[in-house]
This record gives sequence, structure tokens and C-alpha cells, in this order.
Amino acid sequence: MISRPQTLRQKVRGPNARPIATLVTQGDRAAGRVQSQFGDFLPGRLNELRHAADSLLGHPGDAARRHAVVFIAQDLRSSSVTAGRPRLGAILASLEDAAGKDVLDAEILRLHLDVVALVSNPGLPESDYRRLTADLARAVAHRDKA
Amino acid sequence: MGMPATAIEAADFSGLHLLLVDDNKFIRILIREILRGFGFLRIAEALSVVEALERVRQNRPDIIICDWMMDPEDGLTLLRNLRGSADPHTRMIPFIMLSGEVRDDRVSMAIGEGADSYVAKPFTAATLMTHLLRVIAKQEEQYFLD
Repeated sequence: MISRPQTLRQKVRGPNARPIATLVTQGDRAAGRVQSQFGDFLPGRLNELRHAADSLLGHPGDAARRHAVVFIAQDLRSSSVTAGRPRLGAILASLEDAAGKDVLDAEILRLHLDVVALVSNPGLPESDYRRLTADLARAVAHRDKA
Repeated sequence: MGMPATAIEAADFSGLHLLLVDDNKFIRILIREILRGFGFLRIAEALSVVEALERVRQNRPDIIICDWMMDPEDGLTLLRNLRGSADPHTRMIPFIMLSGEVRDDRVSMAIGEGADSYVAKPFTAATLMTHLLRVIAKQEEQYFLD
């Protein structure tokens, strides 16, 4: 007799099954532990972003270099937000836009990189963050108008 | 045999084999630790589409969680490869797409290509659990329809 394989639901049943709420709590605790280590991952990835951006600034029309900057910025943005660092994520989203423009504005890209470096410090006071983002937004708006 | 429609209130994930595909080390560790918190014991990891396809051949995972944005080949490429496979098991593996993009057209594209669920970053342990339970229930519906 040929028996059909078990469904996934059948596989997760059994005497050792634990309430979903308990498992979620355990998952949350594990996530908290990993999120607290985000600072260990960040410097290496920021260096990669800086390196890719420098390479793009040296060859502003190069599509592959542009793609590399946007790719790293997107990747870092989603990691930052997932790690509970939305301020950094917001600046990286703006950097993605700046790097993805048809005509690259070198000064705007450099300005973003400087702000990313400052905001990567989780201890940056909120007032400083607000000032930096306001300055950045003004610079971007000014360039867009020009 | 009828099709059970009850919600899963308790689970033992230790018997499931999950493949996690992401080239971002931080996100990979984060998801792996959350899954361990849920009780998963068999978690294989891949950093690229090529590596993922090899793991699928070797381990025949029950569920795949894959990030969309990877270089040089993305998660959609992996999904298309799996859904176009000659092997019926490989074609049907429940697939959860993970992405920093929340645009409707991206979600529709992933679902249209055969993803069973779509998780937008940032996500919590509870979100991940919801999507796991969703694909487990969906796989069972499919099983009883065949």
C-alpha cells in the first residue's frame, strides 16, 4: 500500500506541540538578542556603501556602479529598520533616491553619506537628528528645484 | 479524509526542514534565531540562488523563506526555478518571499510567480509566525485538493 506523505500540519502536531503564543514570545526574545548586536554588523556594511559610492563618484554615468550603491543602501535600509533603527533607515531611503537619479548629483550623494555616518551612531540626540535631516531635505529640495 | 479547517493553536516545528535564503548576514541570523525560538531544529541556509538550488536537491526542505533582493540573482529567480522544476515536490515547496519593498505590484508579482506568502520588512516574530502558519494551512488545502 502506498501511503501519502504527511502534510505540514500533520508534521507539526504531536505531544511536544507548544502554544503558538509561547513560541512567538520565545521568537521575540531571540530577535531582541540579535537586534542588540546590529552595531557589530553595521560598520562593515557602511564601509561597503562608502566604497561603492566613491567608485560611483569616480564614474558617475556607470550603471553597474549606480546599481551597487542602490543595492547596498536598500539592503542596509531594510536591515536597519528591522533592527529597530528607523532613523538610519530613513536617511538610507533618501540616499537610494539620490543615487538612483538619472543625473547623479555628487554633492548630494556625499552629503547623504556624511549624514548616514552621523546617524549610524544610535546615541545621536534627537535634536541633532532633526537638524541634520532638515538640512539634508533643504539641500535636496534646492537641487531638485535647480 | 476531510480537510481540517481549524486554526493551528499549538505546534512542534522540530520535524520541519526549513531553507533560509538571504545574502544579508544580519537578517539571516535574525530569522534563524527567531526560528530556533519557535522550535525549529533543522534550518539550512543559502547565500545565493545557486546555493539554494543545491540545498533543495540535497535536503528537500518543507518550507523556504527567501529574500527577494539578492545579487547577482534575486529571490524571484529562485522562485521561478522551483516552480518550473520537473520534480513535483520541488515545484510545490511552500515559499515565503521576504522583501523590503511593500509596493502592491511587487507583492502581486511574487504571488503571481507562485510565492505562497509575502513578508515585508521590517517584520516581527509574530509576523513571521503568522506567515509560517499561513503556508502550512495553504499546503494542506492544496494537498487535499490534489
